[in-house]
Amino acid sequence: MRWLVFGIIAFMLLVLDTSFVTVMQVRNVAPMLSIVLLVYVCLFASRLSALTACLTLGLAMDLATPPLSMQGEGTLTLIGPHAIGFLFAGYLILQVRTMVFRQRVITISVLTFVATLAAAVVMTAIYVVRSWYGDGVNYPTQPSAMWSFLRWGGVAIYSALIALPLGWMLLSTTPIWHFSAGHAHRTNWR
Amino acid sequence: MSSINSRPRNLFTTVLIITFVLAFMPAGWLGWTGDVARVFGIVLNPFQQFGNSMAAFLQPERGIAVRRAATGERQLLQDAQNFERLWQEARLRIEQLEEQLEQLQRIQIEDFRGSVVPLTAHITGRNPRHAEAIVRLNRGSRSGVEVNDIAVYGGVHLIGRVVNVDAVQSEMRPITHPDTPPIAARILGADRPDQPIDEGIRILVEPRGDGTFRCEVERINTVNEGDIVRLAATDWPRSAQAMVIGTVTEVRPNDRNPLKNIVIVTPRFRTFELSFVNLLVDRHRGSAGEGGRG
Repeated sequence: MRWLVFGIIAFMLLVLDTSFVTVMQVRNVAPMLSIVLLVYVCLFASRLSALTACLTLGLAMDLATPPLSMQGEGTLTLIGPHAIGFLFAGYLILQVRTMVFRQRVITISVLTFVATLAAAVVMTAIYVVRSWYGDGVNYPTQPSAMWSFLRWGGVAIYSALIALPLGWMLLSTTPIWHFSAGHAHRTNWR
Repeated sequence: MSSINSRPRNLFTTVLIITFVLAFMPAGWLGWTGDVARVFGIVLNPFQQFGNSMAAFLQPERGIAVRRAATGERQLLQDAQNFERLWQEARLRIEQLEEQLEQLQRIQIEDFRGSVVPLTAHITGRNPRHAEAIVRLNRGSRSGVEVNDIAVYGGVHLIGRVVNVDAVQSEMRPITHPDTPPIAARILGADRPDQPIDEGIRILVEPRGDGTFRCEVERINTVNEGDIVRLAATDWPRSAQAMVIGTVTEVRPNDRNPLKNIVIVTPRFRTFELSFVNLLVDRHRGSAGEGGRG
């Protein structure tokens, strides 16, 4: 896999994810574009490259996301929730990728839904565990972890819909990625 | 050969272990992560600013409505709103003077209106999946921004408060963030535009986490939908006094306390709708003292 291509596309999606997607916001739910890239890479790259990409993308997302608020004054930039969440999602995709039609946009869309929920489970779990510390940080699990997870359900559905055009675009760029497995380059909407 | 192949795997494992440790490390040990994020933000911010500007451009009914309105007749309307706020703020000041005469005799009274200047700050980083979350702004201490400076939009609408500052950027917590403590405010009748703020109904608004505020009002007081809620809190900077928090959007009986009504207040603007805010920065900071800063 060409890491330069990954870096450029990841950077673009990261910027869009932390700024432009507000234009797509519906009732406080916005899609997560970078998870589509995660799914795409996990479908085609070698295992170690895919997991490294997930971890890198998650770490970048942790750093790019505005910090959490602390009671009183001050903020906390938490490194880990996105990174570990994305890694777990990527691991799940790696387990099922031999059973799916990789070059179909529908596959990317469905797996985006699954990956978003998987990442959300891990992220919510980390926030819940950390909230037991009682360190005065306002974790995004308000008013409850279940409510937070339901909101992630909305994000997952929305991301899966966005994955249809975005996945098609990514599949069209497959030749420049130079994936080692040597998959076909044909894009199919079905 | 095997050592060459195992090197990336070892690096990956090391980074993974460090990430796990960081994810569960107590907040007190993670003060440095903000600095790492800020360095990362230096690369990201110009692109994020462009992304936010594009989003605002595509949402004329949201972000740039007020900017476009700042011409001609609309400009006059905005000026009128500004002067109304200043008048209400002066009334509030008079009331505070009456209540705290003895203490105020020892405080240097400065004309803060001349010392506070608006500074446009673009929103660079935000979390679109949490509308009320903290946002990053592209102005820092080099521009005179300090912690507790307030952010407004449309001249009189209170948006948030700066909670963290470094040299070139800052972080602002919206007033609708769940961590914002209850804010003392007054309700002014929408049908009485000339009502002085000191005649308004005293309330304590609490953010609900969904972008609105909740407060309780004695049922004997008449509160109607559309009434304006203005800040009147001594623990907020003086430049924030009489700023508009929002309008009353719902009044319903409190089943647990029959003598009170529950009032829901909705801000006119929310951070996810905006690409920039105006920070009110004290030009004479330091020389004027921090008396009014909460």
